[in-house]
Amino acid sequence: MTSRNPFRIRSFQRASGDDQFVRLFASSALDVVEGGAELWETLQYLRSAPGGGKTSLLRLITPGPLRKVGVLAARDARFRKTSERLQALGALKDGRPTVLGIILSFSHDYRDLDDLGPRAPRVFRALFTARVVLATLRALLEMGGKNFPDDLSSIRATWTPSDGATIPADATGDSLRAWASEIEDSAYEVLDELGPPSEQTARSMIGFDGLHWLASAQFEDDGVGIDTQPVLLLDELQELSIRQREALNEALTALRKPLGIWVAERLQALQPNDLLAVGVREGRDYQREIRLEERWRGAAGSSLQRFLGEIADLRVDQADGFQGRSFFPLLASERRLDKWAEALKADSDASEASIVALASESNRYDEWIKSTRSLDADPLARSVAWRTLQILIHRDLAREQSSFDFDALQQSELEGRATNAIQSIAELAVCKDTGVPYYFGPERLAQLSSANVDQFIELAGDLFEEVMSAHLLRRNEQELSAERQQEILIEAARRKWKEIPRGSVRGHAVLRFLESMAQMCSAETYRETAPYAPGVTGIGIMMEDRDLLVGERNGGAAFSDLTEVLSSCVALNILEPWLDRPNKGQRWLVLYFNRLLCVHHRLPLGYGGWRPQKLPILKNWITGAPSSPKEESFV
Amino acid sequence: MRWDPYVLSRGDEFDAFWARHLTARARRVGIVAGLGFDPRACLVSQKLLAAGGEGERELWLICYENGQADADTLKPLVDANDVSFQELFAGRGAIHRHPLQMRRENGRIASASATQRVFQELEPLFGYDDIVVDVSAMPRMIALVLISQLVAALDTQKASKPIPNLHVVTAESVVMDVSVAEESLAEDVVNVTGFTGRVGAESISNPKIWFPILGEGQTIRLQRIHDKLQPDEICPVIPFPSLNPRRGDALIEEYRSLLFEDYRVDPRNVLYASEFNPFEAYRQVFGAIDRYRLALSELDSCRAIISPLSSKVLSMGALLAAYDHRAQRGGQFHVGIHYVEAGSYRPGPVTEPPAYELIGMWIVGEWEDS
Repeated sequence: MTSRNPFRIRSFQRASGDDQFVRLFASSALDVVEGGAELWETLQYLRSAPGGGKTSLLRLITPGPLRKVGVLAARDARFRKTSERLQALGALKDGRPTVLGIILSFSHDYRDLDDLGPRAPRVFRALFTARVVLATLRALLEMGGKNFPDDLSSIRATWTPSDGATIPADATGDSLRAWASEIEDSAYEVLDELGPPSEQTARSMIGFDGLHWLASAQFEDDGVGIDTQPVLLLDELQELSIRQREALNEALTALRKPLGIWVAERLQALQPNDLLAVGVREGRDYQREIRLEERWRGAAGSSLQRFLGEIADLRVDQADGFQGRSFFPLLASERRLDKWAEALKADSDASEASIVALASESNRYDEWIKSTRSLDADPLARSVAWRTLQILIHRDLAREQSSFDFDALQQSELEGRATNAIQSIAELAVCKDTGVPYYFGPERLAQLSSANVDQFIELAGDLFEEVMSAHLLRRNEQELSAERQQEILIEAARRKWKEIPRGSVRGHAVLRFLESMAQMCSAETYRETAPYAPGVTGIGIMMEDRDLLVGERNGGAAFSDLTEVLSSCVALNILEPWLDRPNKGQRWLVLYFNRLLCVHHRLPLGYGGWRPQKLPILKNWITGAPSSPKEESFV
Repeated sequence: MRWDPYVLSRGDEFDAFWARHLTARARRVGIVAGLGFDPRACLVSQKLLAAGGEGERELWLICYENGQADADTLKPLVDANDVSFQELFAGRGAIHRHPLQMRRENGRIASASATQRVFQELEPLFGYDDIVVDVSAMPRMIALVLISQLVAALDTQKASKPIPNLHVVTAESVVMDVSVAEESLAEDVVNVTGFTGRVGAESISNPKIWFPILGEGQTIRLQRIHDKLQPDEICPVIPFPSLNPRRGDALIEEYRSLLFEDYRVDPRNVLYASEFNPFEAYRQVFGAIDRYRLALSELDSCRAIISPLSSKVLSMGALLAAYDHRAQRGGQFHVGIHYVEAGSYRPGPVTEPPAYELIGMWIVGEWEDS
C-alpha cells in the first residue's frame, strides 16, 4: 500500500499489522543486540528514551512478525538481512521461529492497584500472573497461525505447581483463559467500582507464579509438543509504581530457572540503583543492560546513519511516486555558496580587520595573517580560516609568557594548531553569523536524531513533506537545498523547545533550567579562545552528587526540585544521560542536550564537550540565575 | 437514555430556576466547591445564597493542593477566594474543609485516587435535600471523579431510601478558560476512577474506539493518550454548534496533520457535540458510542474510550454519556474516560470575575420521578 507521506504513519508499533510492521522494520536495528543462546535464557534490560525503538525490538521477536519475516525473506531479497540477523541471534531457523516471544505491556491500571492498601502487592502479583498466562496463550496461538480466543481448545499446558501456586497443573487453553480472565476481571471490577465501597475484592497471590509457570510449563498444540523457547517480553516497566517495580525486579532477578526475560523501560538517570535489588550485578543476576542510544553512539563509523537511512528508505518506498528510491540522496549534502558570497566576504573582512587590530602591537602573527590572506579557497573556507586564526591568536595571547612575543610564528605552526575541532567551531560561528546553512545533509540529520528513531522519523517526515511537494508540483529539483533543510530543522527545533513548558509537571522550571544551561553552553562554546572546541553541549554532575540527588545520601531533600527537573528532562528526552563517565579520576553523570535542541541554540552537534557543575548552581538555574564565563565571546 | 429529557438552566433561567427551586419549600443545601485561584470560585455560591428560601446552606470546600512550584504566587488569589467564601457563609452556614493532595510518589499527579479518598469523607452530604457541585474552580479530574462517585452512590441508595437532588453547576467563561491556562501537563495518562475501559486487558481483544473531544492546544494530550491507547478507530468530537461558528473549522485546521495524516482518521468519523448544552453533547456522544456497541455486538463488541479535552460543560456531557453506558456493560463492552491531568496552572491577566454564564444541570433527584 502506498501513502502520501509514510513518515507520518504513527501506527508503527502495536496497532499496525504484522505485514506492515515487518516491511517497515530496519534490519540494522538488530545490530544493537549481541549474543546467542544466552539471549533467550537470561534476563536482559533494554533501556532508552521514549521513541528509542524498544517496543519495535520486542515486537519483532513475537511469533507473528517472526513468522512474517520467514515468509517474506523466502520470496523477497529485501527481507533477507532481517532474517539472517534473526537466525544469527537464534530466533529463527529455516524460516521458522525458534523462540516464543510473549509480550506484555504495562499500563497505568497496575499503578492504580496501589490504592488497595495492604492487599495491593498480592493483587498486583495475581494480575501480573494472569496476564502472563493470557499473553502466553495468545503467543502460542499466534505461533500456530490460529485465532485468540476461538482456537484455545487446541492448546494444553502442564506443569508441577509448587509453593501453593494456583495455576492449574494440567489445563487446556480454554480453561486457562477462564482461570486468568477471572483474576483480571476481579481486578477490573475493583478498579471500575463507583460509589460506596462494596464487598468486591480482587483476587490475590502470594508469589509471581506466572514466572515459575512459564519457566517450567510444557505446551502442546493439537497434541504436539511445542519446543520453542518461551521468552517473556515486558514493555513499559516505568508505568509501574516504585513499589511494584521493586517487587517485580526482585522476582525477576531471583528467578533461578532458565527463562528468557527482556525488560524494556524508559531510561531513568535518577533512580536509586535503577531499582534493582541490592547486590544484584550485571552478568550474574541479569545478563546485560542494553542502552539503545549508547549502543548507537558507540557503534563504529556511520552505522547509526546507515540504520536511519534504512528506516527512511523503507518509508520512502511506500510513498506515491517514490518506490525504489532512497531518502538521503534526496537531501543536498553540499551548500551552494554563490548566494552567500557577499555575506561571507563581509565576514572575512570583518575578521581580518579585527585580527589586524589585535596583532598590531608586534609582528608575531605576520606570517599567519599573510598565509590566511593568500588562501585560495571558496568564500566559506576563507571565512572559516579567518575565524580559526582569530581563535588561535586569542589563545596565543592568553598564554602565559612562555615565549618572547617578538618570536614570529611560522605557517607550519598555524597548520599544527588549527585542529579539526577549532575549525569546526569556527565554521559553526561563521554559519551562525552569516546565515550560511550548517544544519543540513544526511550526516547532520543523523546526528540530530539523538539516536532516537521516533525523533528521526519526525524530522525526516518534515523534510520529506517538502520533497513531496516539489514532486507534486513537478518542480525540477533533484534534491532539497541545504538552506531549506536548515529552515525546516530550525522550525522543528523551535517546536520542540516551545513544547517544553507544557510537556511536564514542572514545565516552566524545566524551561528556566534549560535556558540557563543553554546560556552556559553557548557562552563556553563561543568564548574567544574556544577552550572547549568544538563546543559545549552538556553538563557533568559527579556521581557522588548524583547519589545525593536520588536520595541515597542525606541532604538530597534540599535538591528535590532539581531532581524532579532533571528526571523530567531525561524522561522526555530533552537531556541525554551518559552514566558513569570517567574523567580525571572521577565518575560523572553527563547530561547532554538532545541534539535537536542544539539547533535551537546554534550549538554544535558533536558530543564530548561538557562542563562540570555543582548542585547549588544547577538549583539556581531553576530560578533562572545562570553562571557565565568571564571571557568575551568571539561571535 | 437516562438524561433525555433533561433539566438544564442557563443564563437568566439559572436565577429563576434556583429562586423557584429553593423557595418552593425549605431545603437543606450542601454546596461542594473547589478552593483555587480562579476568580469564578465564589460566583455560584453567591447566586445560590441570593436565591432565597429557607433551610441550611453549607459549603463543602475541596482544598486541593497540586504542589505547584510557584504556589506562593498563586496563594494570594486562593486566599482572596477563601476570604470571599468566609464572608459569604458567615451567619449562613458552616464551611467544611477537605484537603486534597493531588500529587503522590515521585511527584506524579494522581487526583483521581485522592478525590476518591476525599469522597469517603463526604458521607454527610447525603443528608441534604440538594447537593450542588460547583465545578467552576475545580480541576477537571477532581470534578469528574466527584460527580461520577456521587451519582453512583445516589443510584445505589435510592433503592432503599429517599435521596437528595444532585446538581452540577458552573460559571462558564471562554475568556477565563483561555486566560487560566494550563501551564504544564502531567506525564502520565490516567483514567477517571471507575472508567478504565479495560484498555490494558489481556483477556479481551475487541476494538478500542477512541472519542477525543477536541479543544484548542491539546496536541500533547492527544499524542500521549493515543500512544498509550493505541486505538483501532478514532472518532474526533468537534464542538458544534459553538459560540464561535468557525471554531470547528479552526480545530480541524489545528489537528489536520495529526489526525488525518499521523493517525489516518477517516474524515467520516468526525462527530459534533453542542458546545452550549451538556445534555445535547451527552446525547450525541452517547449515540455515537451506542452505534458502535450495537454494530459490533455480534463481534465481541468494543471498548469505547472518551477523552474530554474541551470545555468543562462538554466534559460533563461526556461523563454522563460514559456513566450511562456503564449500565450497558456486559460481555466485552466497556467504557473508559482517559485523560492527562494538568501539572500546573497560570492565572491570566484577568483577576476580576469576567463575563460568564451560569449553567446548571440537574443530574439526579426529584425530576426523574416527575
